[in-house]
Amino acid sequence: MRRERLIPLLEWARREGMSESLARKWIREGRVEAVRLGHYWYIPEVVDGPEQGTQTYTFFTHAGGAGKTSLARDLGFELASRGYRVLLVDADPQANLTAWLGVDPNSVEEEETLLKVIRQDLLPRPRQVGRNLYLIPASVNLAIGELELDKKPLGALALRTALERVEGEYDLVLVDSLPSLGSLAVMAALAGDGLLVPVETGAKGIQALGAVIQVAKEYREALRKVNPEGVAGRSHIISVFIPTKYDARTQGDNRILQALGELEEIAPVAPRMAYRPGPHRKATEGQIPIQLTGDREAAEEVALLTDFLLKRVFRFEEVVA
Amino acid sequence: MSAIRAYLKGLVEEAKSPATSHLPLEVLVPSPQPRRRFENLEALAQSIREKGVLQPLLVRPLGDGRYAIVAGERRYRAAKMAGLAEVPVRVLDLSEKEARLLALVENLQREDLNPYEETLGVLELLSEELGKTREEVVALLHRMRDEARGRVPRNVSGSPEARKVEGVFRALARMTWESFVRTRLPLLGLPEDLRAALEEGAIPYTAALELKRVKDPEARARLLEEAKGGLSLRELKARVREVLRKEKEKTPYPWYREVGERLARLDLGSLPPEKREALEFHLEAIQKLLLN
Repeated sequence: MRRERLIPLLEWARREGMSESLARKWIREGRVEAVRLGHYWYIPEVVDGPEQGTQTYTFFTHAGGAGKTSLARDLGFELASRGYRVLLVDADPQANLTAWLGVDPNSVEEEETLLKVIRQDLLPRPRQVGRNLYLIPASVNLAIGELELDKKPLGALALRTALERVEGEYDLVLVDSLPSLGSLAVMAALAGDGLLVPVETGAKGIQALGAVIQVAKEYREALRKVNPEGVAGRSHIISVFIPTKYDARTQGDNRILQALGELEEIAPVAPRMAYRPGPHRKATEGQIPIQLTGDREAAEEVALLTDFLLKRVFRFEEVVA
Repeated sequence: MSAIRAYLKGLVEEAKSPATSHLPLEVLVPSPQPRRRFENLEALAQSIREKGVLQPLLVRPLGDGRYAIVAGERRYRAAKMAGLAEVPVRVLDLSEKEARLLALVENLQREDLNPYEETLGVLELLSEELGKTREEVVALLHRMRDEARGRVPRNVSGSPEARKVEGVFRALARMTWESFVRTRLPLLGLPEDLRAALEEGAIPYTAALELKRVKDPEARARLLEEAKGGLSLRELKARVREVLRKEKEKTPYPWYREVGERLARLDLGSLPPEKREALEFHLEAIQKLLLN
């Protein structure tokens, strides 16, 4: 299968054995095709990748501000630029993911959102928001879906069923859930293979864990009936914990981060994501992922997290160069 | 801060233990329990083959990935026979002692324990509650009965132990401790043949207690066969009385006991002097003999 990857210009230049300035010159002269995304240049490259099934994961926690939406955007972009075909699903009526990816939520029709899944059991045609990157957007009207879901028999499994129909079209589906435990959140959580749980490094994040673990066990029971092999040997469906908003300057965050290691017995604990208000604002305002804001540390952090998830959670065969 | 660690550790435990859920048979471990025999397993296995295990087993985590069965060993065995891979369970967070108590109560609340198993079960429950051995519990129960009858001074009744005993019987809602002492404790001393018959369910416990009075093995074996044949309790009692009377005739009452009984009623002071002196002389001699 043919796939397109985005190679950061510096990496590409090094590989080709030329200086970065020469590579930039080539781009100016049109001798090499390149795309500019945010702060950086990328060279698209077509590679042959293995044929493999779709994996679906849901960013899940009922605590607000833990970093679900930022992670969905940044990981989605990072994975897409590495050659994976990624579908992002915005399940939050606040439509932050939609807006942050440059789609005006006011321009979004109801049939483009998960309302179509709820009403017609069909997945809407996603918008393309980047190379290899697709989005099922949300709008504020999605909130009505919560009420409609309550009346729909087996509504909790609607998204899962709809995604099964597009099996193979994407390598990875990432669902951005809403900060709630209501029926929309349940539908989002049951959509896939597991939960990616952001944990805010602080008392608030820790407190939220109790309920997350409890519902993750209930969801496991619900999924046991539709996908017994998928949940066999597990007592919950948490795939990874991702510590977020870590502030290295505070003693408290350091201690909490250490303590979070205990969770490793439940699911892998990913490398922490630091609290970066500056780049974060720049990204949302510029409608770009944090990697493209020019903050090197932020970009490295996302790359590190992506490496970790690819190795410990997603377990794809690698898309080879 | 160690509070956070403790909280997270709690979460880890919580996450690892399945909710009401299904567990594979191979991680379940039967625990010792009052039931001695498992009858009609094949019938239960057949029903499990058709409808599955309807009521979840109660289990408790052993901490190594295995789970001890607190209640439902019969269902577990039948499910194994039926070839099931997993069974529905409810996981309870119990200490070993709590689990044993729960298993005992659960088993005692059913109808299908035979009286002998039930008696052992109640005693085990009491010894668990009181922290005493079975023998000590039996002694305590006898003491309580004797005090209630006014035979001995009240030392035990009303004590915390006695109240605990009463509490256990109230909780079981099966019988009072008095009737347990009267009708069930004697079952413990049953000879082997009667106990076997009782465990098979061949005779009711009332018949077993009646037959226990017959000490002659041959006579008892004969009567036991008749009882198994469906002799009514009233008829059985009549037969036992008859046998006991014959036994009594075979072994006449020893004459010296009669002497003792007469002595007990004797008032030396009211006798004529010669007779009194003669008696005193002989009694002193008897006393000397008995004391040496």
